[in-house]
Amino acid sequence: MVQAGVNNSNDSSNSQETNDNVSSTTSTTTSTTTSATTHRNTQLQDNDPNIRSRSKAVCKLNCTYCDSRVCVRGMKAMLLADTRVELYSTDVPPLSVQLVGEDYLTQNCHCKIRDVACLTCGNVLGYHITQPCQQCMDACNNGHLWMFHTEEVTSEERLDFNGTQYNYYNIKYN
Amino acid sequence: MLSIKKHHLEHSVKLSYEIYSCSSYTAPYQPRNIMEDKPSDQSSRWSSKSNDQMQYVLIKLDSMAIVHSITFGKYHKEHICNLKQFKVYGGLTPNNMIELLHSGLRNNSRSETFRLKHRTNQVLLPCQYIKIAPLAAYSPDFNFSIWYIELKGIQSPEIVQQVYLDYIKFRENEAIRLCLKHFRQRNYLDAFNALQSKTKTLLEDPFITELYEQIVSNGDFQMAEDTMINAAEKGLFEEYIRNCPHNYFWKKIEATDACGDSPCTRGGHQMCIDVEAGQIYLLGGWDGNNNLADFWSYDINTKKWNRISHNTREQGGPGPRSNHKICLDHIMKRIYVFGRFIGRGSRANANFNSDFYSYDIINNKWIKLCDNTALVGGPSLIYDHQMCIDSEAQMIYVFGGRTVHPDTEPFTYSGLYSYNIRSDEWKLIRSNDESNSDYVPLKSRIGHSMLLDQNEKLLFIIGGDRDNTFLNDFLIYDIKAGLVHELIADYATHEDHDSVFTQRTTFDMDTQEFYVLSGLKDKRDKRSQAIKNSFWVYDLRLDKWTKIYQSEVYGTQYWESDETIEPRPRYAHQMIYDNVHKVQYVFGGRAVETDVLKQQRLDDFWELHLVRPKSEDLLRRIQFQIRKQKFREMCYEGDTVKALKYLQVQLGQVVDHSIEAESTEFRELTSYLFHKVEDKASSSFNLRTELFENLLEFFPNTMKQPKDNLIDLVKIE
Repeated sequence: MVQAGVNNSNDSSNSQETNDNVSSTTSTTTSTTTSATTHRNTQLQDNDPNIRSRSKAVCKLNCTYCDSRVCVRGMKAMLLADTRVELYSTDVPPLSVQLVGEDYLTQNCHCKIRDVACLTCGNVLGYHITQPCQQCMDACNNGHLWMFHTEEVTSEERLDFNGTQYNYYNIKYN
Repeated sequence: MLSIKKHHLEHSVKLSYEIYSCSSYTAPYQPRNIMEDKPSDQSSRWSSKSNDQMQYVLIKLDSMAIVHSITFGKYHKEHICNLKQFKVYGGLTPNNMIELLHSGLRNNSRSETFRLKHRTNQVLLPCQYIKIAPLAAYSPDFNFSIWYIELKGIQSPEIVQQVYLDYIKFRENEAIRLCLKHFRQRNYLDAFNALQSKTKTLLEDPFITELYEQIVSNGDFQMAEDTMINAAEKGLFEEYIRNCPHNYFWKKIEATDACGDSPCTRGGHQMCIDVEAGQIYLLGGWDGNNNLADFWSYDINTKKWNRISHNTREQGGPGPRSNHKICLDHIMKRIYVFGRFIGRGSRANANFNSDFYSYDIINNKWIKLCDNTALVGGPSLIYDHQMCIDSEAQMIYVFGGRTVHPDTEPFTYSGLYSYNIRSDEWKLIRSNDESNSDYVPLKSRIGHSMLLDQNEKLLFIIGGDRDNTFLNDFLIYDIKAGLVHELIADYATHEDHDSVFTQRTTFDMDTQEFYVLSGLKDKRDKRSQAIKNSFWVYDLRLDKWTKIYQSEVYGTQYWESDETIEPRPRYAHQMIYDNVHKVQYVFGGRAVETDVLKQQRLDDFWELHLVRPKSEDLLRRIQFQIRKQKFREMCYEGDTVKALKYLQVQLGQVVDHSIEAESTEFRELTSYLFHKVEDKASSSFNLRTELFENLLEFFPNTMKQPKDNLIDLVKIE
């Protein structure tokens, strides 16, 4: 379930997660400022230094291959199942990418996922959870259904006109 | 026209080129990348900036060439930007190019080679420019990518120069012929004669010119009729007839032998036909419980079965078997038998020897040619393979099939072998999947069709199944050159051509037509509710698929009733073809049924007759048109009584009232009796010209005036 005070996406009418009321992959622990992804009902400890050190900065993501902007609402995340795996995630369907191929299952859980490719160059950049599994639904998560592999995108923090970082959960969907 | 002559291939070399222009590109994906084949580099490609239908890459060859083939290299894994559909154009200038190919790539990592059209009926096409125009990627929202392009063809200056001159001359000639046609059509006879005598160009075959004079100049309609009869006798209407759609009818054969018996229900049996002797042979199969070893012949003329043997093993022939193959040597009158299937449950103590037999029809005698072909360089024991015989060369070709070995997994497939009957020698021509960059791979398979063109020495391999994946390719193996060509990348993409697995195919060498009776849509689709038969013709010369027949989707009740006018959908059946009488024979198999347990074996026997109009039918239509014109002119002359009589007698004779349109037209002709025309001469000329042009429809293109009209070349800007 989405945790109160963490995810404001349920308020947004254009958010895909509203109907599903959640999902799986990126899961944010209550008391930290960090988010991470999981395909397993594995929770990170609040005091995990790895997590603490990260902020919820908003990132702009570009395709590594053709440099097209693919997302303006990215967030650095890590796979809960394996904290060595870093990803970028987002909660709204990103720009200029599209689902390709068929759904498949991950090794970690029963979520059905499908690859996401850059519309400009067609390279696969990440995946989308098309059907979150019950485990992930039950787990604490932040409703991020779109993932980008770090090696497939370049990222840049979004700053406001003062040069201050945006906070992921205070920024409007744009 | 498709011609795969070896001498064209001998000179075929890789052609160097440069990128002349392109419609657009995305930053790192410049068009020049397609000159290099780097499958592991995602950036080594051209990628368009848009996915509309205006995208292209234009290649300029370093020197003019006759381009035989194009090879598309690909990325090392599937990629959404691969071209699902594309066209290739070629020409001497970028502004005037003709379509050489319309096909599509598979979304995989394997490079694909396509033959390009490089000749028309009259002339070879020299090209300086080649344009590749993507039409669709594997998803409509993505841009198009081309990874690598290789062109092969003839570049040697002496040949190309000659072809170029021929081509220029051809175009010049065609331009003159277009003028000639226009002048004659508009009755500018002075201009027509002047141009013709100056250029000495023939507008058409003299035979047709004669017809023109009879009809248009002289109005001698009786002579014109005689000319058309003469043309029919000379076989000039064959090309027209060939382009007419087939009519068909199914007929169930209810035949028995002298004792009232006929072959029992079975699937996985084999049949072959001796067209000259009018005999069909049937050997073995699986009746649902046991393999069979009975051997039958069916006499087409007397419509009787004859059981040659209850068990061929007793005569020293093959033991009970199914999923084997047989083929008939019509010259030596021998039947060859090879391969068999051993069920999974029976493999424990089975004999895995790959035995090989021949049957001497004249002496009714079996000969065991080999106890185990695997020991003499031939295939191991296989099933669901294909076997063709070249009787004149006394060669047998065996391709594909799954190897039967004690372990059921994994599947192993057999390659392409030849067997020389005279020297009793097996030879492996292509081992399973042997791949070489110069060759299109010959992927081994089961459930395919293989047919032989004995004259051209070509093997045609269609579809099949590999590791439960359905293949929908159409390959040509050129026996003399030892090369594989891919005819159509994906013949199943043809409109509505969905049912292709377990197809049975026959081939008419004279007309170069393939007949495909489809079985299941897909092996996994055995339970499909939508059960139907369909029968397709592929005309190799015209490169055209035509669906002749498709059964309606009926329920089991209909198919099990005795009132069916067509065979029920099935698989594991056999179809053979009598190319002289143009009849297909279908026997037995296993009914396609939703519930697998209900899939009973069948013992029904059908004929499928394919009928095209005969030249007599055409002549009647022709006479009707000619006499119609004569009648109209009689009306213009004013002798109404004479005209009426002509209408009643001469025209009445040649009307087929069963054709409603023709019958109506005939009745409406009476109105001419009361018709007054102002300018008789001009009206007659126009009507005669129209009649002449209508009659031209029946003649081959090479004999008649150009199809196009000069007036259509006028650009309205």
